[in-house]
Amino acid sequence: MIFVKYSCIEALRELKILFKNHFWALLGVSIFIIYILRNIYLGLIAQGISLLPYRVPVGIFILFIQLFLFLFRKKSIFFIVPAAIVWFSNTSGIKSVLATAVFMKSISTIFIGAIISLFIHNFEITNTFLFNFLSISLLFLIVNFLAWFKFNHQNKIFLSILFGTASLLFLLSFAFGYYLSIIGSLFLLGFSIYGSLRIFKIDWTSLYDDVFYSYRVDNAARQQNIAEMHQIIAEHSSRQKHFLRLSQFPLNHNNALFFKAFIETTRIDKQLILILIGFLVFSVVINRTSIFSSLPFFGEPKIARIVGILSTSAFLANLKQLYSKQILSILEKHKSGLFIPYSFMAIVINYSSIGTIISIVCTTILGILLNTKILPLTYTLLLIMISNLAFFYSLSKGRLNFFVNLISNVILFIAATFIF
Amino acid sequence: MTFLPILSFENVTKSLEGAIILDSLSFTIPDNKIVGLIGANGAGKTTSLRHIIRYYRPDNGYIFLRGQDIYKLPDDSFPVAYIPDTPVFYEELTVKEHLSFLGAAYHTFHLVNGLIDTYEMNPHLNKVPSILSKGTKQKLTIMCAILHKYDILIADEPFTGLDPIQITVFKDNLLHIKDEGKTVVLSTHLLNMLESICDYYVMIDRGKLVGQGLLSDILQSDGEFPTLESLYLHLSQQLE
Repeated sequence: MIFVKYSCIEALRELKILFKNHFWALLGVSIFIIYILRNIYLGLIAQGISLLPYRVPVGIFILFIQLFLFLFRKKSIFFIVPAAIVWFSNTSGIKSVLATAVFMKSISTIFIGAIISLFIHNFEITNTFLFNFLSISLLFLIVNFLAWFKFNHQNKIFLSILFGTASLLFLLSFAFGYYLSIIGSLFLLGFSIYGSLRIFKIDWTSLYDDVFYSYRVDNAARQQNIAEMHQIIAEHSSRQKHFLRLSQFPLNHNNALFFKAFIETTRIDKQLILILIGFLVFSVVINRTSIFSSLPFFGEPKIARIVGILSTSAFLANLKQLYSKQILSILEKHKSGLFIPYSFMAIVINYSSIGTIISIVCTTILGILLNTKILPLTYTLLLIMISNLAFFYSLSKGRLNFFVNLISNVILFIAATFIF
Repeated sequence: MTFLPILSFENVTKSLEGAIILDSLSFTIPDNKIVGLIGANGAGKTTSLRHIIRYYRPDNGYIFLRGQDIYKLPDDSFPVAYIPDTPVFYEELTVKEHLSFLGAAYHTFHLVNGLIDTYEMNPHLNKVPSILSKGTKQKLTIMCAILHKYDILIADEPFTGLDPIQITVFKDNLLHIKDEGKTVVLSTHLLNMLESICDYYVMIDRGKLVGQGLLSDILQSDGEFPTLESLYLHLSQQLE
């Protein structure tokens, strides 16, 4: 119990620091979430639209998300404070520490399951709601355990069979209403819990490395120490094998910085690249395919356009932020004594040119896929260049200017409107 | 004996978090010498060095390098190399990539292979800094600094983590750097090491200059202390 007490105290303190250092950002995110919820309310709930008639595509969509998390999640699904692993390892207390982490994660998983179920049932609590809520929560909980087993290096074929079984049971219960399949899912969950306690071994070293990494990144983010956060993430991702090396290029004074920026681009965290590409793919899928057309809200062409614009501007803004972090990190190192014989402006130009080229190439491909005409596409590209120019120029002062960043994001949003 | 100065602090004052770290500090660093910066923990050595690399700006006072205000010197030709007490690297780059990049940037690529051999870095060339041992990280820091084009090398506790053989190698490097007509400012608690290679000393205590000059000047200025160690211990006890 003492562990739970101190975990709660630590969580509250971390929350306090987060609010203190990120008040405006949190306010912005909150307003954005409220805006999205309002649109969902107006589009679904206020009109009394239930997603129940679309339970098959909705079920497949939920499964797809779970499959994505199962396949690509590298971090541990259960988070334990790294200090707790150090203090409690080789004692019986470590089991209660892990049990607490599993319990906390399960509570949040069930909560998410409840929210999704409420949206599907248009916020009406009926027997069908309770049944589907159970079905979704069981799937989420089982996938949590499967991700945990995967993190601990269990046999992938065995885990794939378990995932396949869980998916089938979920579809039978959620999409087709077979009550008995819930019992199957309960058995599978029971087996997963038993397996995690008795059968499968835990790789404590990997777990410690993982949670310690997350803890350091979160801590740097809470303290608004962008340079340190970038350093920790870069250290983590740089431990992988690289096939392209800086020393393979014909380096000289004039091109060394450009190639360095290029090499760093090739070493960006793959998951981050996947998320960025996901924004663009989603923009195309929602606007150019019929996958979402049968759904209310997302199926509306006007809504699809807005979502596409938001998604594309999110891609452009995130790409810009990615390079700004790299630039600020190299400028910080330059100030800390790892001098390089280039002016701040030269550093900014070399890094930002790669970021801008990627933005322009990706946006052009997006424009072609969306059948955008030449003139609006040209406007988009020009606005992207103007936005990046203003933003990156402001970075040559060695810090991120909040207002320039905001204005540049607005320009990117306007730029994105021209391609849709 | 008079020396031609390369760097001078003039009444530099700096406060950090409400505490005065440097208090009207004035001293000169002579050109083409190895200069030992001495002081107890908290004396203001690292803060002084961080002023030379322009990490800090003085609240009051000036710092001149060859007669020019160091804050007015351009970034792309700042003639200072720095070995920090906490190593700073590009996390994404391997050891070899660090050396290739800095070699290309400073036109000192011809030095890279020699440095790799001298510091026995061949087994570590394809590793990223985060997985290197403390001593190997320190060796990389030293190599990166040497690849710079500089007139003055600032080294803050550069012997940390080095084995006795590497300490000797680095000591020889410092003497070679001096032979090339450059200046070294060395801050370390290894006083025997300082006595064996330094030509000139600057001693500070609680942000103020205690003395500067040749070893004999420093020791005579405080009378009863026959060695740097005895003087240092005396200053440390005063601080307590």
